[in-house]
Amino acid sequence: MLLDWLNRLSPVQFALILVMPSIILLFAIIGYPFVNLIYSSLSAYDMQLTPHFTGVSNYVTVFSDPAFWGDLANSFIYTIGSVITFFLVGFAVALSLNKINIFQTPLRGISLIPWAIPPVTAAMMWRWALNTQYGVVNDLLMRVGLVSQPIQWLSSGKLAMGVLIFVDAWIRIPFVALLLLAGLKAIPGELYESASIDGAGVYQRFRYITLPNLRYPISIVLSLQTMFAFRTYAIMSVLTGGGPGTSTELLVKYIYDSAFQAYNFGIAAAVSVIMFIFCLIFVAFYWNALRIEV
Amino acid sequence: MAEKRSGLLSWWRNRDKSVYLAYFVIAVYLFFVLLPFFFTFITSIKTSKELTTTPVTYIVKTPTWQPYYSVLFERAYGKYLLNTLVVSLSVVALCALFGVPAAYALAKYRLPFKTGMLISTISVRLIPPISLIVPFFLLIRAINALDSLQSLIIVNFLMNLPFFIWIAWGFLKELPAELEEAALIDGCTRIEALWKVVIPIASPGLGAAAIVSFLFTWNEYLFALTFTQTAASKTISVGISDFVGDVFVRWNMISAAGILTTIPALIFVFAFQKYIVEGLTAGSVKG
Repeated sequence: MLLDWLNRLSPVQFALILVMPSIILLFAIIGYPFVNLIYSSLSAYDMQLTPHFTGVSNYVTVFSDPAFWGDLANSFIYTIGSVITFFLVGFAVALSLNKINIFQTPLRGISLIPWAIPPVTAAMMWRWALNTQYGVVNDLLMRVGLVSQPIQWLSSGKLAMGVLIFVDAWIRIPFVALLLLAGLKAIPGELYESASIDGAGVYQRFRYITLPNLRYPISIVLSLQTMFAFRTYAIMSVLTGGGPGTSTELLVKYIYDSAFQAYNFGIAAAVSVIMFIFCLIFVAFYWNALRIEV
Repeated sequence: MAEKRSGLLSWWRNRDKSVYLAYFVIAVYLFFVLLPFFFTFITSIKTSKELTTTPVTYIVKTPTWQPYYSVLFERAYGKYLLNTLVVSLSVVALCALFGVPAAYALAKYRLPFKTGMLISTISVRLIPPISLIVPFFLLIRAINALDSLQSLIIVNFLMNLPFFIWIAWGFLKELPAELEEAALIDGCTRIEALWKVVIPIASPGLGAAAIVSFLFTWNEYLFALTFTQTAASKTISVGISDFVGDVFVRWNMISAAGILTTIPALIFVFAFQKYIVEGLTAGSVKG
């Protein structure tokens, strides 16, 4: 019965029936909360968690809070640090995997593992590996004689931020390398051959063949992973919890604590909106810089 | 003798030496990838006493499985693993149920506002999950589903559906249209053409979409942290982060838990590597 009825519909009607459940769900259950979020950001919540419209006062509060600016700055340092690290290392790994022709599949498999495990687990493993007294990193550094005293990786602000950036990049490199490797393999070999015949050196081939042909995967990798790094919570939460002091506190923690420590949902919503705007700016920036057309 | 040396020399000169640089880069990278896994594994089979001996022992003197036993049976880690599995599999099933028809319609049929639908679907991913946490929290509280697996299934399903549609769409649009046309001429209904012809042929691509949604749900932390309170609904990520504040939990137990979360990921990566690679790179190499 149902099958016959579906068959009698026009193709457009049939297609709408297939696509509408997903579209309606996404709009109702993500679109509505999103509108709700913007309203929340303009409201104050009372004890019963009922919102009362207060205009832009949440934004005024946020912008006059030095902690917000501190966390925003930390988030930028964290994101930019991670982007530079994962992009350069991921690119180097992709180029290297493309160069060697043996064991490519198992090597690619092993290099994917950091991406496949939960970020919480990854952060936990590094936290133990970097333990001052019993961690493998200090132990190896001391055995090789590079340092004489164990390093306190997570007790000084600058070093702790460096560790966060390292672990964040560690998780993201596999995805970056994988996409760039797929892009490299799609470049026809003849391009390089004819360029070599024309006398192009290594640098010129890289600059005028490799990079332009990788424009699309590069834009995907950078826009997605910059966005993800900017809003990731697990790594900081497990490794430092924002400390020492507030030196590694990120904007996500500001949102999370406003919502679930202070129950100030209006402030949390306002900072969430700000964070969303930054995500849009990142994507627009990369797509514009790399001249991607939708 | 001199001739031989010059032969070696020219052999060395003519070789593409960047290959050695490539090996070096891969070796250093693999060292950093494997170091924490290696250290976590050896820690997970140490006794609490050996855990705190300095210098660190690399060949475990008294290996023991006790930490694994402790996390699985004295803590609720076995339950957490089960919870995570139930949530992840349910999310994949729901994504397939809603996502496959949607992706198929978008890939193969004329639709009004098709580009708009595709772009708005994927742009849901632009919203930071943390921004949705307050509205989702209020919603889940309103339907009385806090601390339940259902709440995690719903939010993870919604967060993964756009990605699932996007990946499945990338594969389905590449399939030749003649396939279903032939099936329809042979008297199949439209649903039969989708079910019996298109889905079997597109299964590698759909499998890729399923695997990626599975892994994203398996690894998810923020929603699980916010919406779960007890072992009834906690996932492995929340379970492992709980151990940090637990004074009775030593690092050998945390490491055992870490290894237990790594093993499924390992099996997954090696069993489905081809699909994962296809799924992640679909549509990303060429516009």
